Amino acid sequence: MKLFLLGFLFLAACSNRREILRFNLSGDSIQLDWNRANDTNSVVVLDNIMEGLTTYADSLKTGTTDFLRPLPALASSWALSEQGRVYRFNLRKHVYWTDGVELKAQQFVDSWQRLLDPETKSENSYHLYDVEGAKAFTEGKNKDFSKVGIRALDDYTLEVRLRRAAPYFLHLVAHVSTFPIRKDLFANTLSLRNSPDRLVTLGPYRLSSWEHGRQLVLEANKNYWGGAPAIKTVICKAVPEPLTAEALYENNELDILPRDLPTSMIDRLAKRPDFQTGPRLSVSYLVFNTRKPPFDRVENRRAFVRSIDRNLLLSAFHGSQRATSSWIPPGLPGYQSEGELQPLPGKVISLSAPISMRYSGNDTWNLSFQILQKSLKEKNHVGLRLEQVDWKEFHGFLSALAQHTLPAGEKIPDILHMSWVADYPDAHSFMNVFTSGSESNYSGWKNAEYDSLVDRAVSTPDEGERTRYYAQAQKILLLQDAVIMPLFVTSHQALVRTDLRGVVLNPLDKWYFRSIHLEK
Amino acid sequence: MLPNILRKLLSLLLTLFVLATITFFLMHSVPGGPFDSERALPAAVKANMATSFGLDLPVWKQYTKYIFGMLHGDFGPSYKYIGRDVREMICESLPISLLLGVLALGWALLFGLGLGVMSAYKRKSMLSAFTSFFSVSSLSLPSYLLAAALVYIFCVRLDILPPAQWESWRSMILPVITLGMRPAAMVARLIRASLLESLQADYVRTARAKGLSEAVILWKHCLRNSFLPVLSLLGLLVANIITGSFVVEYIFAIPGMGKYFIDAVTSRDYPLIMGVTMVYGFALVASNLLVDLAYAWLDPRIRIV
Repeated sequence: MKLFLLGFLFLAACSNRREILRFNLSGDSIQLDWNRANDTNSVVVLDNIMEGLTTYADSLKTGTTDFLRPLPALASSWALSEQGRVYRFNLRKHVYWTDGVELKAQQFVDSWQRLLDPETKSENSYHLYDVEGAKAFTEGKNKDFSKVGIRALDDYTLEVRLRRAAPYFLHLVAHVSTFPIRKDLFANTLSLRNSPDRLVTLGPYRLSSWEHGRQLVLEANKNYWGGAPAIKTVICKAVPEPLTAEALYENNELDILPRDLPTSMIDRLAKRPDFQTGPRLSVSYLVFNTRKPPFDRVENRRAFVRSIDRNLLLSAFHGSQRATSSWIPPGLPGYQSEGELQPLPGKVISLSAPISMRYSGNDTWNLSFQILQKSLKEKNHVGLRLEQVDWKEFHGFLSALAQHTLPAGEKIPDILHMSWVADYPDAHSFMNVFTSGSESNYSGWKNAEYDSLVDRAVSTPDEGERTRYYAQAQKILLLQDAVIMPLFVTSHQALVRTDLRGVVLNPLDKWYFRSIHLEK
Repeated sequence: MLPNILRKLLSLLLTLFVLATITFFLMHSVPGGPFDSERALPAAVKANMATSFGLDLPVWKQYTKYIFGMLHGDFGPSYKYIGRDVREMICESLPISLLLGVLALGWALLFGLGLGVMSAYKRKSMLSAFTSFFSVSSLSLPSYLLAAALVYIFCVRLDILPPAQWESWRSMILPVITLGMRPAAMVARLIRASLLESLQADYVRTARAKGLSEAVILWKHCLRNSFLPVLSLLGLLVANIITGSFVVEYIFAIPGMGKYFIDAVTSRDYPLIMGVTMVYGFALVASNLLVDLAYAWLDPRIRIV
């Protein structure tokens, strides 16, 4: 009898275990107001408790580019007109929020109005700048929201008018900041921290509890329009230290370590069957300061690029980065696999004074740049002064640089090391960075031809034509003017239990638990 | 005695005020602000953010506003943990840090005392050599290395303790040992040295001449005298445990207050930096005050001070 009982308990524990997934978030400073959320951890939580007009594929076969295609989510279909400038979204019917209220088109209008309103203080308003009148509304130049190109034609139809074709627009409406809101409820969102179970959402999961500093618990939403997901409970733990998270995983207290594996262990972990890796749409690169010598001269910039062997710097990263000479990363149309400036052996560049490089990064980056420093010194007798600063200081400096508010006497370094993570899987997310109006272009370089090529590419819905424009623009950026030097594309590195199926390493680092199930 | 306590209390308040002032102006002078991020914000949005947190005011105005608020128990909202008040965060996490600290201190005193006494008792044994080795290595070993080693032995190899988090008494063992190790070494060293010294004293010779056993001499006559130096060390131990908890809470993913300390600085969460600094500052100053008072109470010679 005792044995039988024990066996029963064991089975019960097993079946229970099979419905729970334990995932690691590195922290729990979660922003539940999705109009304003933009950090990785908040986006993971919100992507699972809410949904937008579109979403991304649940399951990917390796080597395909399925992630490039936004799929219908709350919009069951859409139609384009006026050369791709007007979208008409048909909303799914009988979609209900967790309090039983039905989803209506007006809830999208309310959300987008709130997102664009400067009073909301959202960092995400730029996502909608392609919508007619949206930018002027955020900048306060137009206070009348009826002039912004978004309307609910009826309860189930949403019309969006864009100022240009913006062929990537369907990706933007998969971002958490554009998810619908309940105007009658959203004022409560902020006060929900102590009773998160009262948060009204409509995604595959709902937030059931939040123990600050420990974990958030998500429970399957039985009324989700796509059917309740297979995993009934997802526990998102907040373990910041990679070594600790790894130890918890080994101790069977975590099922997925989505990122930040301890660098020192990667070589060993990479040989295991539960190690997964995949590309990310994130490129790290060097930007030259073209305002002053020595890099005001294109010859010096080109010579510098040719003096660096990316593979030499890679040794510090244990596979978490791959060398690239293309600004548009692999997997996106416009990627150029070769033909850029290749490194040359021997002495390539001669500079009279040492050059300075500023960056913000961990010890791994430090090591990598020390290798660079050494190789420059030995091969080219060029001194490189490394200025490592903390993340906030670096971005404080960059925003002052962009807004021309640098204190007098503050020198701009000759080189900046930066990373760019795609907002959406489209070449435009990268190419737009170096247009002359861009606030992320820290090079001091402008080129009218580049601007015009990027502008033409974003105004045509024809994929082939766009790719050609981007290829030409990229040639100007990398070959002709050598404004930046792309270094690496980042790889995903994750540990995922081998009995979990449907786990997708999305190149945008998105995690959808709805597709995951346990092998029977 | 009473005016003495009042004077000490006054100096405690003054210390805290100076601490608040220095921290406030230091953190505002560090480059990089709380809302600097990868994206340049539209000017209207940035202005609204600054206004809503009062960051558009001159720094001295922000300072007076903050001090005024703090005196009324208002530490302001956290910038990073949106929607949460710093006071609420401290109230939630302080008990956990306090428990961790008290357990670590208790473990340090017990273990350090035991080890110190035993090694003084058997001065020429292996145990004594071990104590010296333990003290030196614990004092010089950084806690993250010790934590990694303990996790490797007890979780990965032996699989008897959970590697992190703060859920059951079993999960408390490793963080408490890690945090208490250095203070334990300090106590052991001090006890051993002071016992060895008193063992040479005249009254011990008298006791020996009376035929008392070595154990009785040690426990009854010497140990009591050694408590005073340990008491004076207590302030230092508390400081050690507080600074150690920043790292230990982070490594073991403990939802305590120490974890916020580093987090707040790297994200320039001004109200959180201030709140956490003030609480730790208070703990430190108050523990020193208590030690002073206890000292005066135990040793009549000190009362005049």
